[in-house]
Amino acid sequence: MRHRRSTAALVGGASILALALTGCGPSPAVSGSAGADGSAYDAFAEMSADERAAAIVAAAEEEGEVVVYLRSDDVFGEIEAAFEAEYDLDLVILNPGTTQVVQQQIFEQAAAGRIEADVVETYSHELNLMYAEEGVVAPIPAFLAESAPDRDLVSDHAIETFQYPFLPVWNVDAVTGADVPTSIRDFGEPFWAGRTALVTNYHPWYLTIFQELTQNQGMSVAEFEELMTTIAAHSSTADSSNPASAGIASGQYYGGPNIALVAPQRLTGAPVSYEPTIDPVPLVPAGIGLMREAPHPAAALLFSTWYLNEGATILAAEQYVQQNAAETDLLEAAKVRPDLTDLTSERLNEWRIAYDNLLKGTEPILPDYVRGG
Amino acid sequence: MVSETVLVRPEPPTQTPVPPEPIGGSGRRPRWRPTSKHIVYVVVLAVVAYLVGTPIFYLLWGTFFDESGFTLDAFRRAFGSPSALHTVWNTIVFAVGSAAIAVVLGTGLAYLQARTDVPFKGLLFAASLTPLVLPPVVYAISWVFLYGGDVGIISSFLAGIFGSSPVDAYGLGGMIVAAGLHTVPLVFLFMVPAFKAMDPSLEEAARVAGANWWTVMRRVTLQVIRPALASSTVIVLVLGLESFEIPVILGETKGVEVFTSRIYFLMHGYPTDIGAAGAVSIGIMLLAMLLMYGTGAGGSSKKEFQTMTGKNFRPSPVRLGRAKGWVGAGVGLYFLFSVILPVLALLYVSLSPFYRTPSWESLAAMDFTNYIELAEVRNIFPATMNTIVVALVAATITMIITTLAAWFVVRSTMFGRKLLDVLTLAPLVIPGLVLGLGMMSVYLRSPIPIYGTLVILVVAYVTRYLPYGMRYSASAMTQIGNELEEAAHVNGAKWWTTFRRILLPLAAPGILSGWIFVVLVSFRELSATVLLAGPKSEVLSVILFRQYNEGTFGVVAALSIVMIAILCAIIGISYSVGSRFGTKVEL
Repeated sequence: MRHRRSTAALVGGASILALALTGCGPSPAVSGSAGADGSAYDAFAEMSADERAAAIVAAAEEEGEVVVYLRSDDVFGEIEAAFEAEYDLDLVILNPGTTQVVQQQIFEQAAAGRIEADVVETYSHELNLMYAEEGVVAPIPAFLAESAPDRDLVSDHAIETFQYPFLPVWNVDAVTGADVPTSIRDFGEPFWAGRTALVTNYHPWYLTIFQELTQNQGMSVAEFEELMTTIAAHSSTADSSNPASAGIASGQYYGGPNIALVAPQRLTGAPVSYEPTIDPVPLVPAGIGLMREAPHPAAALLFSTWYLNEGATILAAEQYVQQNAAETDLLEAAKVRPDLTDLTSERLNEWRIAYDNLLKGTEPILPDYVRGG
Repeated sequence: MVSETVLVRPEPPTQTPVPPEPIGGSGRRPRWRPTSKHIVYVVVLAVVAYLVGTPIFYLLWGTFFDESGFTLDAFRRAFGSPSALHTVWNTIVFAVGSAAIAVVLGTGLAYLQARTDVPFKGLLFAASLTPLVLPPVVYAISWVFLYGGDVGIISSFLAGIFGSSPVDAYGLGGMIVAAGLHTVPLVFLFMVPAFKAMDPSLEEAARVAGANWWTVMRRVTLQVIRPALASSTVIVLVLGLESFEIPVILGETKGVEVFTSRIYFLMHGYPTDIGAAGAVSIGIMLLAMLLMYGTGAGGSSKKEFQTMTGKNFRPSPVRLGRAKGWVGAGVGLYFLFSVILPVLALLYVSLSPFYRTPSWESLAAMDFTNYIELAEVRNIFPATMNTIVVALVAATITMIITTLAAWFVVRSTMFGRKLLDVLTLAPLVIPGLVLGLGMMSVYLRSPIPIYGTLVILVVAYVTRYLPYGMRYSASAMTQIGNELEEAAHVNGAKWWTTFRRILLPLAAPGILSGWIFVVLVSFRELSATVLLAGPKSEVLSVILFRQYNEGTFGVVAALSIVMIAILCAIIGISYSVGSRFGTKVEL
């Protein structure tokens, strides 16, 4: 709740100024809220499965709409059409473009006691760390967890819906024969100097690759630092996977070690490749969370249940856009996910700063807690 | 040389004659009654104070106070890193460099347009405005397509000749040139009315006295247009300090960090460090003030700069003579590099499945798939309508407020007018991200139910673009001589009548330029919008940003082409309507 505490005073002050200048009055009422403790979801828990399904549909259609915040909505046109064809309520979507903006909007709404989202789809670790810490998402109800296609997808505050694989991608015209990378260590070779793209803000990838190399592949922390420093020195940075992939396709870069799979997949016909994949492929899961104070709690449950099942088939069909949990493109590859054990939001922020330092060529490039600081 | 900051307003015009006391009066001082002028002043001051005060308060409080009370820790978090000095240096070099390009080119082009017989004036006008139509993110991308490494359209050609391209969009140099060319239109829009409003007798007198062209330009022309020049210089300097998309896309690749990229990083952490972001914003403000003094961009606009007097005049065009061909070629070259090539690059990408260096193969693969996909983008049609409505409404409200404010600041002796001037300038130093976050926080708690609606976008844009509207309006007002207003007053006209029938028509070209500018920048505003637009109030800039993040560059390019077309239509209609109603804009 640090964010809320630290901004409460200033927001209060600014509000007083605004109120003083505009006249006082009640805040717009939020109707049908899930309640401060998310208890609206519990109301369905005691029912039998059939009763619950019918009650949720009836209540949801009475609520009239479900508001979903997300950061990637290539397939949401189809999702929207399919969902609205099945139920008599509107699916309202907000996608401001990045997970950070989604987070800022929801946290500010929560701090003001005026949540407008019912469901949020973002990185699962953010839901389980920051969103849970801020108290804006409700624990996943047991009956909703049961409706997930796989119980392994369910965590305390999130149900995974798809995953972002981050993997090395290269230009097949420029990188041939023995130069084709077979390990992330290869990006430390002189061949890649000045011809590599590293994507900013991918600290979950950085964390995952650190855990893999140091815990499973026997690399020491010092060796990891040396390798990453070399790779960073070889690299230009790109603000997302898409410009990095476009740069690789055009020959500006030979390749990059941490490109989201979706980016090269979009470049149909371009001279880029990620196969044979370099094991293991780091996967960063995304998932949905239920707002604790959702204005349309029944609609949130209805949409979530539908999205995890019927919606998942649409996601799976659009494999190139969003990789669902039953990933098929990378079936042959070993995969690794970030180990969130002992990870807190503070530590995650330390990873963010460390990765930023790496790209800028400053120290430290690892959080103190993993360097023994 | 006067080198005061632009915050210093001109001396008020000659005191308005006080009507004689009625004969047979009681002998006591007449009871003061508020007139329409006083009421309008109070309303304008209150509105501006409200619009500006809210985000400023949010910014300052978040910077200097935390749970434990007053603190300066935010500055340590913002500037404590070893790379901070480097960031400051990058920011200064970028802001000054891009401003220098914009001021030199913008003023030169405006002079050619307004005062000479340069050929292709229509082309020059289009060339001078079009970069402004392109959102910065799109302009930066078009530069990558043109000059990115050795694989850009132009740089690959040069690399073929020289082995390696001598020009590169990436890095500080690329940032400076791209941002400079992108802000040329702003200076142009400022300077054209100023040049057009000049009384040519001043220059003629100097010439008669034996001064050559350069001396006349330096000692007369540039002196007379100094208010407009100072205003535009200040604005492009601050725009450079505030610029976000161009440094991120062209600079970060080579590790060039500026203040705005630092703010972005601070604001997107967890928890959001609004204090450190505020400290960086205050850094921007201090830098802006230093740069204003250091570059002499401040300046007064005393009566000596009033160029629009009761005398009728029409500046005769300066004949370029034998230089006409060279100047025309220069204009064509500018048009080619600043407009044609970036737009062609966008067009090429919008018609291609993905970017690659042009070849027969890539040209043969071009089709309209990206435009079809654009038409299928969720919310694209409501967002287009929202964008047009919000931009037009915001620009109109901004210019109404700032035209009135400019009169009080420039031409009145009202108490508190300097405060009004400072308030209208203040949003310049509030980065869009901070403004958006501040407004979101406030209006989520406000009884005014505008959060998530188009109205909050209008409020944000009016707040954000007050300084620009004010500079355009104040520039226009400054150049109008006092005698016109005094004559009206002596003949019994009330303040409102004088304002409406004398000042407004004379200032109309400048106000119209300001309106067009605010429309253009509102159309593409992103940093505050992305936080404030709701599911039902999306605008095109948010969709552009979303598509950019989705990686559909072809759709981004297609949307950019559509936005350019819409804005060109709006500008064309505005000038046409403006001319019909007598603004005498002769661009």
